[in-house]
Formats: sequence, structure tokens, C-alpha cells
Amino acid sequence: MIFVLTLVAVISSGLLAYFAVYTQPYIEKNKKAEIEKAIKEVVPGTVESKALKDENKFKIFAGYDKDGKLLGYAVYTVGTGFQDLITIMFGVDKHLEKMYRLEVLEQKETPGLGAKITNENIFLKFWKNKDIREEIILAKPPKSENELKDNEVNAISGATISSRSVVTIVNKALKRVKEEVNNG
Amino acid sequence: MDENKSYLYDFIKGLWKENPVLVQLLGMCPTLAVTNAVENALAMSVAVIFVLTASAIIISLIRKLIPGQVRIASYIVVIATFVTMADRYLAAFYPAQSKALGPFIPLIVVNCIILGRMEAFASKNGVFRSILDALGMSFGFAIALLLMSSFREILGNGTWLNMRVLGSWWDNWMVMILPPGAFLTLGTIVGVSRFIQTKLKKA
Repeated sequence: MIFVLTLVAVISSGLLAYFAVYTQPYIEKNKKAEIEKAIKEVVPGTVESKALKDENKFKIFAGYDKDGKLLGYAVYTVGTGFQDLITIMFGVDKHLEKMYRLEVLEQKETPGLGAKITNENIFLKFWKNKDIREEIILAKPPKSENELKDNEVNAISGATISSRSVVTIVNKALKRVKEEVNNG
Repeated sequence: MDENKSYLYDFIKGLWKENPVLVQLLGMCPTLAVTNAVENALAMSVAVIFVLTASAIIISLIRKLIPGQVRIASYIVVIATFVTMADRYLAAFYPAQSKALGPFIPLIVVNCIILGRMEAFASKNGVFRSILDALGMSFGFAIALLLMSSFREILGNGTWLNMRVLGSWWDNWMVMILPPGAFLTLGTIVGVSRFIQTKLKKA
């Protein structure tokens, strides 16, 4: 009885170990490719990027154009959402005054509500070309697009906590980027 | 009953007469959790078809080697192995789908339809009949999930498989894509299907 159970467990763990080793490089490659792609999207015009800071939950990449001129920084950051961690990537210009774009790489918010933070037309479009000299502020109730101030973004109706989480994560990351970049 | 007829029955009983969701009321957890969008329900169904069939093959092959006392533990190990393999495979070769499915794939381990079929069928029958049974049951599961998710996505979001089906006049019933909507839908669908089955039996 013990023998059979042990045998079943040994065979399946052997199989899984083999499968894990076999798939590992592909999974890592996918993750890397995803980050690369996101850098190019959040800092428009990037041809080459270099990691300035590479921690588990916080990364800064410098984006250069084809002549090697610095275009801006892509920031990868992880913070707490409504249900689980939210992974965000956003791009800022080299003077740290303007945000180009924001993307949500990973999230497990409520499907149909909080998960709308990945939706371009409902949420992400408000994050384009924001003034980041001051903190980003969440507009609640939502305003019409031309009423929004330069550092304001609209909340998603029905998902205020998820919207606010993104704002908090971004503000924290912005503070840290300014420190890191200004201190060289 | 001749051979062919009983083989056919092995397959079709899962679709309606012994439907795992509507009749046996098994696998409620994924049924309630992933049916807020048709896309999720479809992906879940495909994964369950793979895991249930693969597990049924292995279990029915080794059914005579496993002592009764440790059978459940052995089934779980086999099922978990296939689930993990499916999960890793998707992450490696279909990263987009894997991302969309997220936590749903690992959840298959605790889907009691699979353990239930192993215990009730694959551990007592040969490979061929077990495969038929597994396919029938997983398709039955898929049908129930598609029904529920269609109902919920259309009423809750006005869309079906992300395609707009209801006009802008439709005011989304937010509750349908939230957990209470899952219970409301399940109750209604099980009730209606029981009603039809009783009617059919009488007639």
C-alpha cells in the first residue's frame, strides 16, 4: 500500500520535474519578451533599453532611440490591488515631468469590474501624457475628458478600490523613480 | 443491451441524463467561479476535457495495482500531475491564454467531477469505456458552463464572447457577473433542467 502510493508519487514528481525543467526557459523567455515589448510601448520610439535598477518588484529601464539618445524611463512596479498584486509598467520622459503611457501587465482583480483597469477606453486612456511633477489624483465621481486636470485620472465606476490601487502604486513608484534617477 | 449500445450510453449519459453539473451537482466551485464570461468558461471546459480524459486513461490502466486504502490519494496525485502539466504547457507555449486563465487552471485539481469519475467509473472499468465516460462527462460539464456563462455575460455585460449582442439601450445587470449572479443563474438553470427531465419522464 505504501509502496504503491510512493511509486505513484515518485513517478509523477519525476515527470513534473522533467516537465518543469523543459518548460522553464520558454516561460522565462516569454516573461522577458513581455517586459521588452512593454518598454517599447510605454516609452515610444525606444529601440534599445538598459536596466538601471533590477529588483524583484521594482525595475527601471532607460529607453534609447536608434542614435543612442536617452528618451525616457520605463518603470516596472508591483503593488497591492483589491484582491492580489497588480503589476504595472509606465513610461516617463527623461526630465521626469510627463508620463507617456501606462500598462497593466498582471492583475487578478474582479472580472468585469476591477479587471477593467486593463481596458484602454475605460481606464488606460486617461493615463496618457499626464503631468507627474505633482502626485496623480483620482477623480471621483468621474469627470468628462476635457474637464480632467493634467494630473487627474478617472476612476472606473463600480471599481473604485482597483482604480485607487493603481493610483497609489504609481505615486509610490514615481516618488522612488525621482529619488533613484536624481541620485544617479 | 448489446455492446455498441452500451458504449454509446457510456458517452451520452454525461451530456444530459447524468450531467455532472445539472444533475449530479458536482464541480460547483469552478461552475460558479468561471462562468462570468463565455471566454473563461470555454477555456475551463477545454482544460477539464484534457485533464479528465488523461486521468481516466491512466487510472483505468493502473486500477488493479492500486490498493483500496490509498486509491483517493493516488487519484489526486495523478490528477494534479496532469493539471500542473497543462498549466506549465500553457505558460510556456501559449502565454496569452495562460495569462487570461490565470488561477482557473490550477483550480481543476479540486474539481470534484474529476475525482468523482475516477472513483465511480475509471477505477472499475477498462480504458476504452473510461475514455468514453470521461469525454461524455467533460462535454456535459462544458455544455452546462456554456449555458451559464452565456446567460451571465449577456445579461451582465450585454456581450457574448466579447461580441456586442444587446444594443446600447440595455442597462447591464452588474449583479449577473458578480458572485450572486452565479448562484441565481445556477439555481434557475438547474430548476429548469429538472422540470424538463420530470416532464420527459412522465411523457
